[in-house]
Amino acid sequence: MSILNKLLQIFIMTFLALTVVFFIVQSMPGDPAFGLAVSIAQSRNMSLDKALEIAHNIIGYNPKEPLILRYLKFIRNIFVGNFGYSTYFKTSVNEIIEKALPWTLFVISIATFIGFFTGVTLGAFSAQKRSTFIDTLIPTIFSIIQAIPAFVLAVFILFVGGVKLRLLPLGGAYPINMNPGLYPGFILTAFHHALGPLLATSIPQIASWGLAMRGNCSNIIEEDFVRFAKIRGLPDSTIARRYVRKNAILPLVASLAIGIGYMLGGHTLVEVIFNYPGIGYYFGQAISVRDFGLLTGLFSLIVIGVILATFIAEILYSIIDPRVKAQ
Amino acid sequence: MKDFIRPIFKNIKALIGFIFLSIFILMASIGPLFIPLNLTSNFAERYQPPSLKHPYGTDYFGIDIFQQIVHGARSVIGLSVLASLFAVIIGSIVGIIRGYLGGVISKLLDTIITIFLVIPSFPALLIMAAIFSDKSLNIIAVALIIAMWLWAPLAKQISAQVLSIKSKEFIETSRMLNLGTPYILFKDIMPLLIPYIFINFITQLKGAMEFSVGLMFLGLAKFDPTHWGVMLNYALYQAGALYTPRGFHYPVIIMLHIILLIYGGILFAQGIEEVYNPKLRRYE
Amino acid sequence: MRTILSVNNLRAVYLVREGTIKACDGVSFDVEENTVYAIVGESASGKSTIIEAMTLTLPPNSKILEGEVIYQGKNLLKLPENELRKIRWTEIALVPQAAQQSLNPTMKIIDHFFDTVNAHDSNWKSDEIIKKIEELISLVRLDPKNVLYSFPHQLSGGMKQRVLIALSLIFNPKILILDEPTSALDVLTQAHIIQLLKNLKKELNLTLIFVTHDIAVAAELSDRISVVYAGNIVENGPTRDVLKNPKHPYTQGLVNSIMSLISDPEKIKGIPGDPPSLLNPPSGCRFHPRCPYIMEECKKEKPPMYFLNNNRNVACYLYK
Repeated sequence: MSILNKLLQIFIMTFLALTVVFFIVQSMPGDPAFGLAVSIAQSRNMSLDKALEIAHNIIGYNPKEPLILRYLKFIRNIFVGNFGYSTYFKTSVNEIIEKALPWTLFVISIATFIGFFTGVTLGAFSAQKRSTFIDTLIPTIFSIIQAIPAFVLAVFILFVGGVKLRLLPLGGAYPINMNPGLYPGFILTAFHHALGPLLATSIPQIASWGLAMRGNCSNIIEEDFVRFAKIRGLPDSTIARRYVRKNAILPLVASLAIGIGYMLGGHTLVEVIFNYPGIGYYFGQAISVRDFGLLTGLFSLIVIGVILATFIAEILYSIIDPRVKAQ
Repeated sequence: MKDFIRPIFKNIKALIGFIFLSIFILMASIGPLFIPLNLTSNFAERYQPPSLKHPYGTDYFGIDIFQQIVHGARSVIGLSVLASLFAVIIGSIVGIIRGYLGGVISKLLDTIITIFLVIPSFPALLIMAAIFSDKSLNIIAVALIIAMWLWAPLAKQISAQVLSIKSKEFIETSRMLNLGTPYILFKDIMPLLIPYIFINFITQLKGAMEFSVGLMFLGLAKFDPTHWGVMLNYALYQAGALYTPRGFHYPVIIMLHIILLIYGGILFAQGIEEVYNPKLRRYE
Repeated sequence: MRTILSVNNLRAVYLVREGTIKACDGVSFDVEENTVYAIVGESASGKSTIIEAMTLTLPPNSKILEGEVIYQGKNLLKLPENELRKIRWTEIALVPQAAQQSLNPTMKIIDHFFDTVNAHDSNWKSDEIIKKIEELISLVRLDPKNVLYSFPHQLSGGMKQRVLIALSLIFNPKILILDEPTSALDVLTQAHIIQLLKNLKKELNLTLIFVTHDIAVAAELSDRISVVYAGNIVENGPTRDVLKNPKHPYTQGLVNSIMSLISDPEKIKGIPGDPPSLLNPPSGCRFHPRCPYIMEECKKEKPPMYFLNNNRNVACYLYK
């Protein structure tokens, strides 16, 4: 019963969010088909008006149509999975998504994996060594890392790794002369190309998950049930594992999914800086050339991603927390 | 008031953070008075490393970096503070209304807040900046645009706080005494929220700064060429510092200042939180 | 009957921003084997601190200044960690306050038992353990099949309290110390728990020490009682005697302020004044600002314990 309720909520939320997306992009000045029309007119030697008509057809957008109709078409398209047309790249947005999404997901999930596990381990360790030097050192380092905006870190890595040390390739997900496939050579070079974004995305995560875990652990250490465990004579290792960390990590696991969702959109700067062809990179391109079709499509994708991730997070949380399971 | 402020300065994190922040604020406020801004190019002097004449060296155009940083501090701090301020004001008002009133208004506000939460802030910000890029902007407009994508989390938290305060007994008492809604809002609820709002304001500064610098870095909505984000943009994209190891100090110095400013804010916020949240205190 | 536990001149303080809270100010008492001993006092009178100091379970911002807790000829406060661990839980067990929060929310009840058993070297086999656990749960009048495989949030307050008691009995300790065993419970459950403790004491030959602010509970359950005021024990003695015939002015005030179904409402008086701050306690006898029989020496120096007969004493200059 409540699952249906949830699904309904998600449906409505997606609907509303997409509406806002649509109207934001619509308020951008200019006719998105213009650029396309110009190139059509030139290549086929026809009048601009005729070219405009053709261009509008291709994109599926007619400025003379009332706004409402365009809006409804847009919504219908999204719900059948059609994300629109990119005037700059002259392909459907879906094709771009097919190419780019895997790379973004690749970097985001590996970076989150590394960031989460490293961060959580260090955070728990730091909380255990309360009031010692380690518990001053680790949180301070983490705080400093958090003070570095993600893209500043990216620029720094690009500079040090790419220019000074010449370790990083200067762009792309893999070299042009290689064919993508699941063979070791390709996988190796894929990682090589993703090194920059991976570092730039995982390091801030180590810091944030680390601080969060340390915070949770510190709070839980003061709880009565930990005290009672100590009174019962349980060894520190057992208490750390089953009483402190187990309880501390629960809320974090839920945030994992949400974090990945938001990263879809937030990854833009990093990908732009490293010239890494993921969703964010194309989003950046769309903005600089004012490719409205691509913008709307990618933006919608990102919003859907966030909503989906939030939903998954809620389900995850209800599965792992025995207190919530009852519902 | 003094009781509020004095314990803050006894806390070492807050103190160091405050010192960092003050240095930058000083830089922003009186710096430009002492250090003139000379934007004429002098190619002969480009990419000079730090020296006595140019404490931070020179950039691609031979312009002294130190003076740019000092002048840029105004834009950076000003923009972030304004954006944070707007975000906090909007977030507080929406949050308090949503928390205090029930029924249709609350549900409506709830939906609005959720929409803004679900839409990823940075991409949305980019789009909006692109929309306005053809028009000339001033600092207030940019601050408002940034604030639009910062207020939602605060509104949600404040409304949760208000909800929990609302159910406490002393509110019941005020209501029974017919003291009127404005009284309840201002005298009963607000004072409890103020430390929370204040801490949130300081924390927002980090987000506002990241957003604003990121925005400028991508070349959108630049309203001041000495804004550190814009400087970073020049450093990397226009001036090709990326490919000249000589010019390494140029982006590094900019990044360092950005990091130190944000870190000062973080320390300050952490310090204040430690003072007012006893659970975080260490025992001596 | 012989004394099983002896507390001598225990002093402990809490360290806070404003100074030190002198919560336990030279407390001494003896507990005899196989009796029920109650420590009674108002909230924040320092009675929990006595227990925490005795069992070395004080919070991090506190310190034991001096004192001894003698068990089997050894001072527990000075025992090395490994020896303490052998005694803890196997011979002396503690049921803390706040039963509601003392169980791990993400662990099943039976796992709490396993953890406890595994923490102490015992050569029990797993089926033996399960049998013992089921016996204990039944002993505290709970249904093993239901309770053992539940999570804490699925149990009521009274049930959790009983689980804690069962947990404390797993190694058949000689002494069971309980901190406010009935405070967070409704009257009916309170009655059940009291009855349960009575039965347990008889069946298992336990010595019970418990702390409470509820004199009625102390009256029902205990053989001997100590009255605590502001960190000091002001009166000691067999429960019936002390409550029927209170000697210390504070105890008198306390007894007079209790309501019962048969007492005359007119005769009920409170004690004038407020409980003192333990940060800056009054000089001399800490009760002197509120005492109707105050004398000059009360303000100057804390009265020692005066023995009225073999098993009663009072800390008051009235009985010099």
